Amino acid sequence: MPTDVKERNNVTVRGEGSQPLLFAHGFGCNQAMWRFVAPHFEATYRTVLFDYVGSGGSDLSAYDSDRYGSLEGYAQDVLDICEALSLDDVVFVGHSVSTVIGMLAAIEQPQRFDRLVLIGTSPRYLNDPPDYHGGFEREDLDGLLEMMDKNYIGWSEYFSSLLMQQAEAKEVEDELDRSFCSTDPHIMREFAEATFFSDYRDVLPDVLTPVLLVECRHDIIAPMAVTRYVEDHLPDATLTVLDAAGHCPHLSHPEATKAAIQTYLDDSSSRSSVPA
Amino acid sequence: MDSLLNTAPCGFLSFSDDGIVRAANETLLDKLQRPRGDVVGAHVEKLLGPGAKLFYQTHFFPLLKMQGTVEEVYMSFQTSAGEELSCLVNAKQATRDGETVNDLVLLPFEERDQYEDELLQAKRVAEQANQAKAKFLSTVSHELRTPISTIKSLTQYLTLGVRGPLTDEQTEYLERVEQAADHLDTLITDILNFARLEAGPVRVTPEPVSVAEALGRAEALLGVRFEEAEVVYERADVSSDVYVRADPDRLQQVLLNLLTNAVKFTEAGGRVSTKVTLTDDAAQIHVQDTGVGISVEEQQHIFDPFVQAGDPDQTSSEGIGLGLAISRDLVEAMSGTLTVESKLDVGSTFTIRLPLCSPPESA
Repeated sequence: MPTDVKERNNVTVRGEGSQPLLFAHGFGCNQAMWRFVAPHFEATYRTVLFDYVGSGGSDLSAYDSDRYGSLEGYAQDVLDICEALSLDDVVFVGHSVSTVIGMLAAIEQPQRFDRLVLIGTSPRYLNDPPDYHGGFEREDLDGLLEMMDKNYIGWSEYFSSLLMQQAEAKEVEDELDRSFCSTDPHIMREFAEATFFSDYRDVLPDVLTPVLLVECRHDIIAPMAVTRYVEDHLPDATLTVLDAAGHCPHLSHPEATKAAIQTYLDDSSSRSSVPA
Repeated sequence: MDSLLNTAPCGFLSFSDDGIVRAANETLLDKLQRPRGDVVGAHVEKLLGPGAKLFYQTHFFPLLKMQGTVEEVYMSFQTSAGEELSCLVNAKQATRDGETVNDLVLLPFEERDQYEDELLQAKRVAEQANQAKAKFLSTVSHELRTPISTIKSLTQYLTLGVRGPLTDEQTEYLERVEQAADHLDTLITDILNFARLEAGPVRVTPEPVSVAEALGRAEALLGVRFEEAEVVYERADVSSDVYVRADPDRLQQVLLNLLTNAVKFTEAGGRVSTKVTLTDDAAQIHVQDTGVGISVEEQQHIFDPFVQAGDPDQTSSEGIGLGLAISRDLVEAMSGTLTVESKLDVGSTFTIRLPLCSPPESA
């Protein structure tokens, strides 16, 4: 167990409560994406935010292509953080690829997790005809990779200049923004491949932790057909569909997202029966 | 004004946080070959190709929501005929009629897009070639090391007289074989070090290092070489409480390299000296020689790998030109700089600049 996990994953701990609410960001983003939602829970929970190795303000030198070549490596980041901070009875809140990462972590160490809140879940992004419609063909994902490549040519500089401006602004609140995305195109490409070319449909029945699925009415990345598939294959799932479009309701519709999570957390019957 | 917005030579697009297009100008509709009714009221994803839809959701939209603005992002839109429309996009969040909207300016750039594709392709090829080169260097170096070990051990074996007594001349020849093998070994170590540096970030473990001690250690190792080359060495007068933040082994490696170079390029009777100057936050270690010097042109490339000062046809000097490339990488990894000042036939001064720090508590 490395001793510097908190530094490695740029962990931020806030909140007055005792039960940990662990927020895990999606592909292309970092912990800053929770800023409209996480503070709401600080009064009653211990909120823990972090960046995966390779993203945001994490220690890029800790990146290892072998480990992070599959989502299990990222799930190990989650478990490392739980271990380093001695987190138990965790409510895991994951967005996009973190929904799968959270499920993998909960399968590995179910005793650590109380509940999972998964926003925009998809266990497989590629279509697998005739029965599964993930929403994308392989060439669509190649298109994403190409667009990332083209943008990352200039983005390294763009983001570093942004960092400078924000560092000068010295706004404490802006601290989270300082490294919005990873600026390492190689890492982001591998993360994209680990995310979008993966297939974790077979793990769904093994998730014994209760799950809240938060989905947007219209989300091309996690379409409703995929949501139904996930709901059908998880042993203990509650589905909340937001009257919103897009893949990032915590950014576009933070009030509705907070309400959905709060309602689920307040419902004590949704708690895990697995002893912590 | 409305007329300007509609005819300006760039696209304007505005959509809600839900992605519903609220407005688009004529220029954009024209470029997309879509009627207004097909765009306004539709979801913005309808205007994007499949890769761009993913990019929009994973990068563009989160960035816009987080920062309030997005600048100079490449995104490809899709015409009604399914053709790609590559655009440079600036975006800004605004509030209009009580609703949060996202306003975009789109600058289609077809020709430049082609150049960028070519650049990207060239970058990929260069990266692959660089990786192949590093791998080649590493493999070749390892392969070379094995026969050199054999040459060295068998030479030593013969020198010991195990296979019979040797004449003085034979002993001398064997010594020269061994020296040559040692030299080859050093060159290979250089190549391996360089290949390792190329393969990834340099790992250094900085700690407070006494400048006087570091110079003392390097000098002790090189004393004989100064004598052999008949070069006078003048050591720096530096207070023992000057400490820099550096990796002691790496600093040693750099000092040895600079001092060895200084001896190598200085004729007998010349002088090599070290000097230490201090600024508010840094110590500068100067390694000065009265050697052949480096022309202004050569100074531009002196830190590039496989480049060595001097006439390219001259093969008399040792080394293959990796020492300075490695040294600069190491100093920079220690948050320092390595620079050179030189005049032909007068001499050169290499300066290592490293951050000052307090002595360790035990010191």
